Amino acid sequence: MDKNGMNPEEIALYDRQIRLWGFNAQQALKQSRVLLITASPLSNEIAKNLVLAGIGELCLQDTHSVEMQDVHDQFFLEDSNIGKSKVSSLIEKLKDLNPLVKLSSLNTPIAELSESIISSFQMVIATQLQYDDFCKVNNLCRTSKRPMYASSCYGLYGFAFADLIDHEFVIEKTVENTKVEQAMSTSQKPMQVAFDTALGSKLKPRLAKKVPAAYPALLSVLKHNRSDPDSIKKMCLEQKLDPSAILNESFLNDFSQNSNFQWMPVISIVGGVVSQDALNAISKRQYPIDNFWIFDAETSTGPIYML
Amino acid sequence: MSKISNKVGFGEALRRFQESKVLLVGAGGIGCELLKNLLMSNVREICIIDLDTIDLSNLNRQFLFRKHHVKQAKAIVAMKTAQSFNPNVKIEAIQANIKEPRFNISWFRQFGMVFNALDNLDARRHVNKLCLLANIPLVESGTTGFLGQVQVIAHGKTECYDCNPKQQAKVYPVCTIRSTPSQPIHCIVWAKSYFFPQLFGDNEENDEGIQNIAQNEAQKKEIEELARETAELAELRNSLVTDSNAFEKIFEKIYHRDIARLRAVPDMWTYRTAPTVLDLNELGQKAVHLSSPWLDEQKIWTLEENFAVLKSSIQRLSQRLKNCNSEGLSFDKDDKDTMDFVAASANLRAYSFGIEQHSEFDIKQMAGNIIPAIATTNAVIAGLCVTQALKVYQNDNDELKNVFMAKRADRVFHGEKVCKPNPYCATCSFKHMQLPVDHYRLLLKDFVKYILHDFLRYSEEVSVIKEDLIYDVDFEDNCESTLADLGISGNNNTVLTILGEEERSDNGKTADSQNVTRIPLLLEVLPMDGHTDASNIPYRLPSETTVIPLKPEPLRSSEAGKESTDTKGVDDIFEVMPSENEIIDIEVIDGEDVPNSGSPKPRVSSLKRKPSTTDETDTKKSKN
Repeated sequence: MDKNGMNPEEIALYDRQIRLWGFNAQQALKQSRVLLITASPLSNEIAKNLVLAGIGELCLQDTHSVEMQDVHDQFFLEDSNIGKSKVSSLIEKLKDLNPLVKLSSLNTPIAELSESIISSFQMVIATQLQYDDFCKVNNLCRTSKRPMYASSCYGLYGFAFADLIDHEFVIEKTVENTKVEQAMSTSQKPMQVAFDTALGSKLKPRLAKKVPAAYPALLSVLKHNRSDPDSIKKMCLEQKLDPSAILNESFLNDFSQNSNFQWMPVISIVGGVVSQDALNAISKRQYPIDNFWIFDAETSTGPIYML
Repeated sequence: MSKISNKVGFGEALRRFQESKVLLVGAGGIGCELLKNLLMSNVREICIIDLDTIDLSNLNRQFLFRKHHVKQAKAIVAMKTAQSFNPNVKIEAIQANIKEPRFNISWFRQFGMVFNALDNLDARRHVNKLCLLANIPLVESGTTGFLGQVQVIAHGKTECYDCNPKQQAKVYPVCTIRSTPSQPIHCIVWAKSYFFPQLFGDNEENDEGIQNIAQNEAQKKEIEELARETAELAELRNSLVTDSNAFEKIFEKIYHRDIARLRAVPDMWTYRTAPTVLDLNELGQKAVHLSSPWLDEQKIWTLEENFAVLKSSIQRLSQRLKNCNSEGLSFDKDDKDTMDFVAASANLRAYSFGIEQHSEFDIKQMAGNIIPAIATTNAVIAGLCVTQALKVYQNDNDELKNVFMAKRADRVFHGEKVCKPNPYCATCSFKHMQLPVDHYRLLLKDFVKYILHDFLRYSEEVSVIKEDLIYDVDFEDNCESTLADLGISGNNNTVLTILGEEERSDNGKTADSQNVTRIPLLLEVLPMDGHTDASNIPYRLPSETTVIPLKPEPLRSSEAGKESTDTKGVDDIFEVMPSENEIIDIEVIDGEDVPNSGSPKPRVSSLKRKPSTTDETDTKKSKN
C-alpha cells in the first residue's frame, strides 16, 4: 500500500481511468457506499458500471424474485435464476466482475426505508419507480443529506433527475497550456419542488417550442403512470408548452405503444450517463446533471433542463 | 401532413434488424458493450472478430473478461461469457486480424450490418473500404475518456471514414530529438525511439533514415556528428554483455561526452539554454544507497533516483539481451524493465536540458500512447451504435446523424446530420465493377488492352494498382505475367484500382482538357466458372459497357498529386506515435488520437478536400 491507499495491482487494474480522473478520485470512489434501489434492467446496467469503476460497496435493494421477463430484460439473469431472489442472483454475477467491490443486499421494501438506512450510504440511485416512491426516497435522502439520482427508461426514451442538494465540485480547465482546477458549486432542488413549476413558464418562448416531445411524454409516465396520447397532451398543457409545436401523431402513437418496452441499447445509454454522473459526483469532479436530463433515441438527443 | 416516404416504423425496423447477421469487429471496450446490446436486442447471428488477448488493464471496462482470462483471446472469451445473456443468438468468434485476405468482399457480403469497435486508424480504414465495396452499412465508433462518437457509413449516401482526412501522427524533426529537445516528449521519444533501440534493439533495424536527409552544409555536419555518436553507441552495445563497466561507459558517453560535444557546437546555443553535463562519479556516490530500483511510479524521481533506476534497468536489460539469441529487445510500455529504462533515461536527459521531469506513470502514458478509457462512455457509445443502426433499418436517411458524446450544461450529446459523400474522397468516390476472369490464363497486357482500353475505353494514361502499382504506360515489366503470377485471384476477390484519364475518342486521341480524369474504378476480380463459349477468352465482360464518370474539378488544384508518394523527409523519421502493434490497448477514436500506423497507401490519392467549416466545428465540438 502506498500513500494513495491503493496497491500496485489496483493501480494496474484501474490504470485507464486513473489517467482520466486521477488518484484522488479513484480513492474517493473506493471509499464510497452506494445504494441502488430496485433491481430493474436499468439498475442492472448501472450496477455493472459502478462495480467496474471500483466503488467501495454497492448495496442492491429489491424484494422480488426473478421472473421470466427479468431474464429477457436483464443480461445478468438466466433461466436458472427464475424463482430465486433477484438481488442475490445479481450479486452472484456482480462479484465476478470486480472482487475488490463489496456487495450487499437490502430486503426492506421502499415503504419501510428509513433515514437511518439511507444515511449509512453516501449516495442513493433509484430506478424505475413511481413518482410517489421516487419522492419518498428523495425526501429521505434530503433529511439524511445524501445525494440522489432518479432514473427510468421507457421504450426509446429515458430520463435522469439529480438532487445532489448542495454540491461542491471541481472542474479542470486549461489555461495557457496548463491544467488548472476550479472550484464550483450548485444547489439542487428536491423532486417535488422541481416538478412543481411548469417548464414552459421557465423557458423563453423560442426555446419552449424546441422542447422535445419526449419531455411531456416522460413526465406523464413519471407523474401519472400514463403514456396514452391524451395524457401526454394534457401534460404538455400543464407544463405550459404548446402541443401543436411539440407533439405529433406518430410520436404519440409510438410512445404509447413502446413505453413498456425495455430495450438494452437505450438502457445502456441512460445507465452509462447516470453512472458516470454518479461517479463524478462521488469524486466531486465535473459538472453534474443539473437537474433533469432526458434521452430520446428516436432523435438521438439528450438535453438537460434546469427545473 | 405526412410526406410520402418509405420510412418504416421502429417496430418493423427492429424486426428486420433482429433477422440480420451482423459483424462486430473488435471485442474491446466498445466491443464488449456492443455484444451485450446485440444479444439483448435478439439479433439472429453475430460474428465477432478480434486479434487481441486480454490484459489486466482491460478489466476496468471490458466487463466480459475476468482476471483469470488474462492472456486469453478476447473474441473467444467474449463469446463464451456473453452467450449466457441470450442462448438463442448464434455467436461465432474468430481470433484473427480483420485485414487477413480471407475476410474479403464476398465474406463481408454475408452480413447485413457491420459494427466497428476498433482501436486503430489502419483497421478502421480497411473495414471502411471493404464495407464500401461490399455495399454493407457500417457503424463506426470511438471513445476517448468522457468523449465518444458514432458515425453511420453507407456507400453513396453518407460520408465514409476517409472523406475527412484524419490527423496524422505527430512527428518531430530529427535534430530536435537528438540535439535540441525543448519539451518532455522530445526526451521521451529520444529514449524510446533512439537510445533504447540503439542499445538493445534489433541490430538490423537500427539507424535507418539517418541517410539522405542532410540538405545543407550545416546539417551535413550535424548528421556526421550524429553518425559518429551512433557508431560509438553501437560499440558500447557490443560490450554490454561482457564489460562489467558497461553502464558507466554508456552514461559517460550519453550524458557527458555527447552533451559536451553538443555544447561546443557554435551558434547552437545563442537563443537556447545550453545543456549541462552530468557527473557520473557525483551521481554514483549520491545514488549508492539507492539499492532498490522499484521506486514509486507516481512520484517524480530525484536525479540520483533516475540514475539508480537507469543503472538497474540497463543491468536487467543486458541480462535479458544475453539470454535471448541476440535478436534484440523491443520497447513495451507494460514491460517494467524497458519502461524503467525509458523513464529514467528521458528524465536524466530532461534534467540536462533544463526540461521538466515526469513520473514514470506519466511517461508511460506518453511513451505508450495510452488513451484513457472508461466503461460508462463505452456503454453509452455502444448503445448509440445500435440506435443509429436502427435508423438505417428504418430507411430513415434524413434522420441519420453523427452523434457525439460531449457533456455540457445543457446537453449530453449532440447530433449532426450526416454529410453527403465527399466527391473528392479517394476511398469512396469510386465506381465498382465485377469482372470474372481465368486468372491463370489472362495476361496483364491482354487485361490492359482488351478490358481497359477496348472495353472500358481508357486512354494510354491508365494505371493499375494492387496495393502497389503493377502497370502504367511507363511500367510494363509485368505485362507478360498472368494475373495469377501477380497474385491476383478471383478466389480471393482481389480488388484492382484503375486510375486513368478520360476515355479515348474513336480516333485514339484524348479530348481537349488534359486534366479531366475519371473517378477510380475498383475492379473486383471474380473466379470464372467454365470457359466462355466461342472465343474462349479468359475473361467475361459485363454485358453492358460501364461508363466511369469523370472526377469533379478539384477544389485546390495546387494540392493535386502532392501526396501521391510517401517521401521520407526529416520530419518523418521520429514518430511519437507507436506502430500499430503497440497501440492495442486503445479504444478510441474519432481519428484525432489515432496514430497513423503507416499502412501502405492503397491508391494514389490525388485530391484532398478543403476542410469545410462543418468539419471544423465537428472537431471542436467533439473535443469539448
